[in-house]
Amino acid sequence: MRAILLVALACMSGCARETPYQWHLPPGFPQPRVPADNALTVEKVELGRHLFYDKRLSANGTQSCASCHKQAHAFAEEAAIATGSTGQKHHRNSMALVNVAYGSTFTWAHSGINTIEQHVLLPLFGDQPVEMGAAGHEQEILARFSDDPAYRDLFARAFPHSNEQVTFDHVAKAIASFVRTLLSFDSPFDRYAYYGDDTALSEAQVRGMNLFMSERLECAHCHAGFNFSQFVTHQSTAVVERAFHVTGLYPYSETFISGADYGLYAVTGNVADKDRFKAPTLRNIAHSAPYMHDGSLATLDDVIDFYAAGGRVLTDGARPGDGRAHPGKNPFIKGFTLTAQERQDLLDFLSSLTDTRFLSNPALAAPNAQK
Amino acid sequence: MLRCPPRISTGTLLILLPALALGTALLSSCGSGATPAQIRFGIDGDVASAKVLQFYVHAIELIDEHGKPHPFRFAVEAPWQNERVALLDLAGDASTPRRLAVSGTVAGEGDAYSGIRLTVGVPFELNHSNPLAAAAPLDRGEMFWNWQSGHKFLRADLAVAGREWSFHVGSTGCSSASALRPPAQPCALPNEMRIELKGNPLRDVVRLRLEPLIAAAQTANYVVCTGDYEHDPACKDAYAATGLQPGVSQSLWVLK
Repeated sequence: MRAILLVALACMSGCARETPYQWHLPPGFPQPRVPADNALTVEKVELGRHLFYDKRLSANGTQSCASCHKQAHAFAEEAAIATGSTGQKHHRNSMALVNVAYGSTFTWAHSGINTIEQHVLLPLFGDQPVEMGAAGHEQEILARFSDDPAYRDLFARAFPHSNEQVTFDHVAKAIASFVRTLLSFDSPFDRYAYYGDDTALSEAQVRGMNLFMSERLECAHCHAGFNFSQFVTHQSTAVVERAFHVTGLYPYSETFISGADYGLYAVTGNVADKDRFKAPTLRNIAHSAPYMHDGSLATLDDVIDFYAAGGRVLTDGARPGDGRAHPGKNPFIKGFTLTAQERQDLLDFLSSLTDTRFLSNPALAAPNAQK
Repeated sequence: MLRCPPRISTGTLLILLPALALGTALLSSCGSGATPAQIRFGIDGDVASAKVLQFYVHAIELIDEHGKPHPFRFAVEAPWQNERVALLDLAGDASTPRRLAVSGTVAGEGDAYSGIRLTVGVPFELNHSNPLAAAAPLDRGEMFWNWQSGHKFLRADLAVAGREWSFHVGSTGCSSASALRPPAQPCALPNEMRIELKGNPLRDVVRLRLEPLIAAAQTANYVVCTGDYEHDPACKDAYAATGLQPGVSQSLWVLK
């Protein structure tokens, strides 16, 4: 008892307090899973927010996470493909970071990255292509933060029980904590669906939603559930579905074309996984153009055209051919026709997934010092 | 078949505790005239062609030698079954747990049964609520369409000769204000599948036959069937196999 008292007294004079993060979710919503070794605290989220927006995290000091994940674009970006800190082009479009706390696997096509903590290491240290370019510059980058009194304080508050505080393990855990708080549940759709507000959607939006959910269009088969993606896990899920799909964006190629992005195949080496990608969330989709894994469709109109045709035919470029005839194509992508009114209704419904507060919430924006 | 354990001393009980903990729900029914029982499920056919085979069952009755039905009471075993409904999962890759039985109790003693009746489906009053707030196993997003249509009672995703095909069965003709609002009245076509099979359900396995589904996929030229079972040509053969079509007996299920 005396020992506990002594610790308590010592803490009153110096220990940082770890404040459990409070989720703000619609009524009845299950909480996201959080790894046992990275309990979500307000202090970690705050450190993570600083790091997310800090260009000193890239080796040459030119890029932060936010360089490609911009709040106004639902933490995606307007470029078709991303460019890393050294100028190297990525082959994929930056994914929106929306409700990724519920994600069961990360990136466009990977079956083995199952926590945000794991994922954060990829842009930090990856070299195919180089994004933040931290590999080989670890000590130099960490010194930028350990030499900064403000960051020393942020790390100490976030990880009060560690002897060594400014480490990449803590960097990853803090960024993952912040990213976990990028929650968007305040769209008109949410108010209609989860708060029971019949007036939250216009008649056109309701018509568009019914089309979206219909067997005629089959959008909701892959863009399923509250996150409009099949890759969802939370505290009540027993089984996590991880379904990667061929959409018909590119034709099937037996031979390997250099530079082509074959999606999940690059990870598994299984031929049946060629051109399989994840169905991304559609939340805030009107603000995260361009679309598809390589940003090759510029507008939502283009995306609707693409699915209405059941894929696309490419006459030039590196992979010409008929994507519609890809043998692995998801059988739900069978094409459809829409009247002009129906198309507008569908677009109106997709706009109802916009959460304007999420796109401008100061709690998710850069800290004042980094603006 | 599981039986009530013989009377045992406290000492023996302590030694047996870890094993017994697995079956507390079953044991609690002993002495009340109810016998613990398991109804086993499986596949009849080429397992390799099944990617997803999941379905809900409820209202199970065991038929005794005199033709008398004995209701089967579901044990509560999250995440797979609650007191009304159970989810079976017969396929999938090795990374996902399967579920090949429904456990519970049956009124009366003995194991001389000659048949089983069960419903593949979800009762209307449980079928159209928010799956995020529903009790397991009705919280599975991949088994839910939306509030209006409710759950997929049977979900079969096949891979045949390199082609994919899906047959999802649930209620159709459900009226409500939108896809996200539940119907107040039962759907025009509830499409719950009431199955009756001959045999001893405590000894044999209720098997889902893949052959009629594979044939239906080929006939449909791999165009999926997930909705208008009565009219969509892609649904013709698969729908006939379910037994939902008036005058046509089901050919999807066997007890063996």
